[in-house]
Parts: sequence; structure tokens; C-alpha cells
Amino acid sequence: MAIIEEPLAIGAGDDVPETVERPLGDLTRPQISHTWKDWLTTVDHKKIGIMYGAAALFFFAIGGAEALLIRLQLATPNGTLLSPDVYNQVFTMHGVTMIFLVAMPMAAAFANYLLPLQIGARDVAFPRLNALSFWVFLFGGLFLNSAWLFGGGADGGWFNYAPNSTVTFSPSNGIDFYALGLQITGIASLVSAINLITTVLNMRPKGMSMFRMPIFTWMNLVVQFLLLFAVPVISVALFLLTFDRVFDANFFNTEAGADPLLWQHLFWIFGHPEVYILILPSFGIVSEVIPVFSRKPIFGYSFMVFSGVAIGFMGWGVWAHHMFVSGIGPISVAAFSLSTMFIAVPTGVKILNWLATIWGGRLRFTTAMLFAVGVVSMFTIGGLSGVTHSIAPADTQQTDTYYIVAHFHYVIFGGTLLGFFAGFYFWWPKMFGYMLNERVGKWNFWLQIVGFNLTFGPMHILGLQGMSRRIDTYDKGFGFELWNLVATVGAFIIALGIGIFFVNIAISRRQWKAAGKPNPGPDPWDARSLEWMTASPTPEHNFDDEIVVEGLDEFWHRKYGYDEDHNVVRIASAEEVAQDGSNTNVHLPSPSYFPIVLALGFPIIAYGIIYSLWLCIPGVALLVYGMVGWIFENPDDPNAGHDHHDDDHDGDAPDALEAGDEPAELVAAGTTVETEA
Amino acid sequence: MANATVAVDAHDDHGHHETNTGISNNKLAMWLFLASDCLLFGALISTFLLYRTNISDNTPFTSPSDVFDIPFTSLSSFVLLMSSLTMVLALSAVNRDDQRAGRIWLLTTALLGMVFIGGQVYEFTVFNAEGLGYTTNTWTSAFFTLTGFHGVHVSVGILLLLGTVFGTRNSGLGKEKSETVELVGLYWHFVDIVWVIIFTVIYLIPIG
Amino acid sequence: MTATDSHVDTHEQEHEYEHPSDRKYVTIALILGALTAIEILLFVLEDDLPRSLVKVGLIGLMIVKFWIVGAYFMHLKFDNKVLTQLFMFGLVLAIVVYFIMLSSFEFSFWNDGIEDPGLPGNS
Ligand SMILES: [Cu+2]
Repeated sequence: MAIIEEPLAIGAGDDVPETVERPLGDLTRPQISHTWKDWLTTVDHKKIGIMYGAAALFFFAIGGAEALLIRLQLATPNGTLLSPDVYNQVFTMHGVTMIFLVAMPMAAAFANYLLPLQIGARDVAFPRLNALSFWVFLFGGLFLNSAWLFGGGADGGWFNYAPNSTVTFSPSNGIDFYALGLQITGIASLVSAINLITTVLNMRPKGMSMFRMPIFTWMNLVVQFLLLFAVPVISVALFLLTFDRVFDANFFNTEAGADPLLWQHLFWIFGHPEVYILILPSFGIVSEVIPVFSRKPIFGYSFMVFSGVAIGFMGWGVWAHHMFVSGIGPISVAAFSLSTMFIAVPTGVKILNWLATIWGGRLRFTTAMLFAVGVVSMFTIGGLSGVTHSIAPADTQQTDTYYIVAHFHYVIFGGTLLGFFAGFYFWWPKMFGYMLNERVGKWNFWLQIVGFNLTFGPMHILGLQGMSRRIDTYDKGFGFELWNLVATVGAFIIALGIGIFFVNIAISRRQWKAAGKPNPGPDPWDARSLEWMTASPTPEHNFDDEIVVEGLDEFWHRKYGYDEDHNVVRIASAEEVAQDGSNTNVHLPSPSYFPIVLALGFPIIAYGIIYSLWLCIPGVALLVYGMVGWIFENPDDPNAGHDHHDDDHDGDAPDALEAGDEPAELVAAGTTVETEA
Repeated sequence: MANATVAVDAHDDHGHHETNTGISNNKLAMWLFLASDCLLFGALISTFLLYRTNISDNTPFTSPSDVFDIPFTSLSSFVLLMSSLTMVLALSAVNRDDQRAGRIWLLTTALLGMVFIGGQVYEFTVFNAEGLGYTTNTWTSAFFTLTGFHGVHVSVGILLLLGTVFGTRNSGLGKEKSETVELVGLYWHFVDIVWVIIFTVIYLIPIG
Repeated sequence: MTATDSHVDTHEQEHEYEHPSDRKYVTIALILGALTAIEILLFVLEDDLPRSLVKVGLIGLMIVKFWIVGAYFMHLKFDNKVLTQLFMFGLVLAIVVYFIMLSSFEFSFWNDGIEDPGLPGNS
């Protein structure tokens, strides 16, 4: 990984001769043009974060449409909208899309945008790899969904149990698209995990020790570690499945004596950490939003951190609770049942801490706060129904019923997705420079929360009544009619709520322009962490000067102090404290063509594996071309001035937050060189 | 502490920005990748262990020891082990700024890697001729996949080594390239220790 | 997830160590070669020695070789401890998780026997 980050042939900085060798002709680093082309070549973590978010919302529309199709099919008994075969594909692709192409990239969007800002860094450790992660993810997601155009999507459920997912039982190419598509997005997740961990561990400014980092950063650090170790497991499972399907291997061929539990184990060893990969970013967002709108510091900071880390550890020891009815034997069932009960403890700690933060606070019920409170309450319901699964005899009754569907939607929709909406409303002004309309936002919230409970609440009842998960229709007379109809109505209310979110974006933007683009200021919410300490929207170089951190909630402590009676008093306005983004002398990493070029190789190879191995040749060629170009492109745009760290092996690493880092000429032109420690 | 001005005069042998951990970004990233790769090889080895007794399906063999050529594999294991030595000698030469020795040791390492890959190709060919194809039974699928993944890792390592030697023809392989060589080395040694495990667990430890 | 908070001063230690000399590297390689020879010897004497001794010996030698390469060739012994912690975390996690996974299959790895292949996962 790191190898390819490094310029081998051409030394950086002072070694660059005046006539820069251009081994790749036109593919020397592009320059910023302030057009849409910038987005294709950008290595700016903020632009990449926004692209992650936009892509996730695009896939969200697809996954949402699939959900509505499911609900329409089930609205009444004996539905005929979808054939059983198409129904299988629709619910499988709904799950896969929502988990891998919406929840994970949306978390990546927030992490990319906010992690460097929250720790006070200029960018991530490897900006080009960051761009690579995004493009690989995007092409992987498009590849996965292109299955619809090539004979239909995967049809084995999101966990695609083998041998049910082998060619014998699923002869279309849908599952090949699933296996290869997730393999590609897995590469993106792995690269991004390495990048973000390195960023958090290595790129904090002076004084920003680990235990002064905001909870959001902490939770994302845990998530990236989970990804680092969970992605290779699913990669192996997907490789084995692909080899079985494409090259007739025998890993899941039960006729040849294969063990069907192999897939289940590998999938869930990945799959349970994945659950925390989905939920912890949202926990992080909630832990930022609640203190700000309660005007109190987070209650029990270290408990929040350690419970998150504990979840990260314990998440590895509970996977077989997904397999209680698979015949793993009584000892395994007992052990995993116990460990599953234990993992509820750190999660409970978090919920208590949020409540204690709210308790006695001076609350402001903004839309972001409403969504955050929504997460706490809805996730608690989902968590409690989750604990009921840990009791194996109960789970035996619940498995494969709508009770499970209700549970994980309370967790993933009620926990993860509502958390993302809290994040949208909270950070929107920081990202785009205008506020989302609060009145419309409240409509957005209430429609979503009411629709959500109408949709998934009744599923608990349906499940306990015995309605089977994944069934494409049902007969009259089982008592399923009413609650299914309610669920379908609820689903459309959710759709309306989310539609209002998009309307809100349009309205707010128009109002903002009509009012002559008033700037919301660096700190519209009276917030606490470093990302609010710079202008809105965030300037390209993040911060003008390095921030020397002296404590948790650094920004808040610069705004508030104590009078002689130990009352909190305001000592400075946000504008006085925040940096205005006016420093234009910052050296930033140059854009690059190669992340997108390299990423394009992966889907071509994947099509080749499915249709004709010949197609792999251009795919691999593109990959190799991308890598060679990556290594040999000069680390900086030669016209952008000299980068003076001549032995800078992180050819790409953004400059540290020092005025002394500016090109020498500019320093000479009058900027002061900061004093060093 | 991303303190660039210190890094400017820190022309030390690693030459990186001062980071919070004191480890350069590149090196930290490489170790993270290697830690992650443990889970990858762990899954492949476990899959093989699950199917290790199934060699008799569709074949005349009753035990893996009927097909393994231990003297041959020992030799190629030894070759790979020694390539780790030539790799550290390459790094040591580059640290001394001895470019010629550095290149020679890197090329020797790549050559030893190629000998190993050649041995693997030979072994696969023999197995195939004996009726152990990729699709023959669960044992063969698991065996070829595990050793094949390792072989791909070695091949990538060879490309990295050759890339380091030939990619630096213009710029030189001086002391400032020390970290590049070190990172290639870390990857190479990792691939070597994975083989240490595979050789013992798959080839040597008797079943029963 | 590991104790990575050892920022600030640790970097001093990183450059303090001397890389082992080439001579020492050759010695280490010779030791590795000798260990490999013992491994093969154990394999050859498989039928004359107690089975458990052969297995334990082989696994022990494997761990020693692994450790030597990691500690000396990969510099973990001399390098920042954070690297060792990160790598060990991945390694130990892999061992523990896959050990539990294999144990939950009722197959013949722990109780031997190609004579009794067992039916995997039929509990
Ligand atoms: Cu689980």
C-alpha cells in the first residue's frame, strides 16, 4: 500500500529540476481549474467526503425504491406485483445496497470530511489513496447494481448462504455480481481504513492527545480498526464463493463433502463486526450533537471512549449468535449466547451516558437534536429486541421471521440512518455554507419517525405471529393483512419524509441565494470541537494556523470561562476565536488523475471474470498503468512552487499546519515563520 | 506534532515528518496492511485445515503425505527463507549508501523469489499430472487456493523488488531510498513468515 | 484499539538503535536454516518418535522461526512498540477467532484420524 504512495524515480522538492521530466506526458498532475473536472482528480478529503455522501444518497434512492417495491408486493395478500424470483432479487439487492452502498459510504463521507478537521489536521495521511478509495467504492457499487442490466441481481439474501448461492441453486450471474462487487467495495474499505487509522494516529497537532479527540473521531477510529480486520475475512469468503461459481472449486460443494457452515462462519465473523461498523459512526454523531444542544459536555467521556473500544473488541466474539439454528452444537450455542448478552453492557453504557448528558441540560430542540434523540430512543428499542435474540431458545422461535427484520431495521434505520440525518442537519452549514431550513427539517423528522415506527413496529407482531422473512407473499386468514398494510403505508410516509429532506436542500439553498448568501458564520450552533473553529464552508486548506490544543472541547473552552462564582461566562465570540480562512499561502497536495484511472481497472476485471477472461487483460493493463503512473508522477504540480522537504517520503502527505511550511519565496514575502516546540 | 520545520533539518536515515507516534505514515500503513493480511491468510489456512483429511475423495491417495515431496518443498522453503537474508542485506547496503550492493542484493532476493515460484509451478504441475486438479475434491481446492494466494503475494513482492531496482535507475538508490527498501522488505519478510506457517502446518505436521 | 497514545517522545527511541550488522544477519539466517533442518529431521523421524512430541516440536519451531524473522529481519525488536502491538493484535485476533471457528466444526483436527474423517458440522 504504502509503497505505491511514494515517488520512486523523481525526488520531491529540491530534487525536482526546473525542466520536470514528464514520463507520462499529458498525465502530469492536473491543475485546479475550478470546474467540475476538479472533482474527478481531487485529493481533498472534504471534496471526497462530499462525493461519498452524494454517491451514498444516489444508492439510497435505488435501495429505497427497492424497499417500496417490497412493501407494495406485501401490502395485500397474494400480491402479484413481483414474481417470486424477482422478489428474491429485490430484497437481496435492497439489503446489499443499503448496507454496503449506503450506510458504509455515508459513514465514510462523515469520517472523511470530519476526521482531519476534528483532530485539526490539514488532510488525511494519504490523499491520493483517499481518492482511490472513493472511486473504487463508486465503481464497485455501480458494478454491483449493473447486475440489473445483465440478467438480474443476486437472489440469495444479503448474507447469501452457500451452498444456496452456488451455481446449482442460483444459475444467473446475480451472485457473481454480488461476490465481485462486494470484493471491490471491500478493497475501498480496506484502503480507507489504513488511511484513516494512520491519519488519526499520526497527524494530530500539538496537544491533541488521543484522549482529547472528540467521540466522533474515536468511534470512527474503532470502526476503521474493525474494517481493517473484518474486510479480509469477507474477502476470503467471497473469493471462495467466486472460485466455486466460476472455476468449479469445491469449497461449498456439499456433494463433494464440503461443509455448508464454512460460509456461515466466515460471513458472520465479518458480519457481526460489520454491525458495529454500521452503528458506531452514528453513535459518534449523536455524541457530538447531544452535548452541543444540551449545552453540556458529554457525560463520562472516558466511559464513552472505552465502551466504544470494548464494543470493538467484543464484537469479534459473538458472531455465531447468527447461527443458533445451524447446528453448531450446544457448547457453541451456550458460549455465544453468553457473550452476546455481555456485549449489551457497553452499548447500555453509551445510552446511559447520552441520557445523563441530556439530563439537566439547557436543551435546544433543533432538527439535528431531534434526530439524535430519535437515535437514542429507536436504537434502544432495537437493542432490546436484539438482547432477546441472545437467548437461544427464543432466537430459535424468532429466526427467519419478521421479528428479526423489525430488530435490524430498528438498529440500522433507527440507529444508523437517523444518526446520519442528525449529522446532515448539524454539519450542513460547515460543509456547504448555508443552514438547512429548521421548519421544513422538523417536518422531515416527524414524518420519518412516524413512518418508521408504522413500518417496522408492526413487524415485531408479524414475526411473533409467524410470518416468515423473505416470503414473497402470503395467503388471507393468517392475521397478517392488517399489519402488512400498516407497514406499507408507513414505508410511503418514510419516503415522503425523505423526499422532504431533498426538498429542504433545494429550498434552503434558494433562500440562501435570495438573501444574498449570508454566511452562517464559523459556529452557528455554539459547538465544541475543532471543525467549528474555521470558516464555513471549510476553506480548502482547513485551518490557517496550527491549533495548539489544551484540552477536550478545545473550541468551547476558548469561548467560555468561569467568573469568580464559578459560573460559566462567555469570554469570546466564535468569530474572535475561529480562524477566518484567509491564509492563501498554504501548500496543498496536487490533484491526480491516477486514483480514478486505477479504480476503473477493477470493474473491468470483474466483468472479465464473469464473461470472458480476455476482458481481464485490458482491466489489468489499466490497473498497471494506473499504478505506474501513480508512482512516477511528480509529487507536486511543478508550477505550484517548491516543496522544501527534499526527503519527504510521503510524497503526497499534506503539509503540516505550519506557516513555516509555505514555499520559501512566500515566507520571504512576509509571512512569519511560526515558532516550534 | 506534525512539525515540518523539524523535519526539514532531520536528514536522518528515515527522513519523514515527525509524527505523533514517531513512525512514518508509510511504515505505519504498511504494518496495518500486514496486520490485516493475517486475517486473510488465517481464513485460507483454516479453510484448508477444515478439508485437510479429504484428499481421498476422487483420488487414489489416502493421505497428503502420499503426494507431498518433502525434500523438494524443504529446499524451496529454504530458498525463500534465505531470500529474507538477502533482503536485509539489501536494506543494510542502502543504509550505507552502497548503491551497487543494494541493487545486487535486491536482484538476488527477487531471483530467489522466482526460484520459489518456479518450484511452486513445478509442484502444481506434478500434482495435476497425478490427478489432483483444482476441482478434484475439497482438499485440492483448498490446497491450491491457499498456496496460490501465497504465490500471488510472492509474485507481487518480486514485482516490487524489480520495480525498486529498475524504477530508481535515474534517481539512484541512495540512502534517501532507505524507507522504500525497508517497506518492500517488510512485505517480503511477511510473505516469508506466512510460508513458515504454511510449510509446517500443511506439509510437515502429520495427520493422525 | 491498542495503546497507541505513546506520542511525543517515542520517536527518539526509533533512531537510537543500531541496525544489526551484516554479520549478525548472516548468523541469524544460519540459525533459521538450522531450525529448518531440525524441522525436517523431526519429519523424517516421525514414525520413531511419539506423535505428540513431533507435533509440539514442529509447532514450537515454527513459532521460533516466526519470531526470529519478525523480531530481527522486520526490526520489531528494535522498532516502535506500537508496530508490534498492531501486528500482534491482528495475529492474535486471527488465531483466536479461527481457532474458535475450527473448534465449532466437529471435525478431526483436534482428535486426529484420517481413518475416522468424521462428518463435518453434523452435530
Ligand atoms: Cu450479530
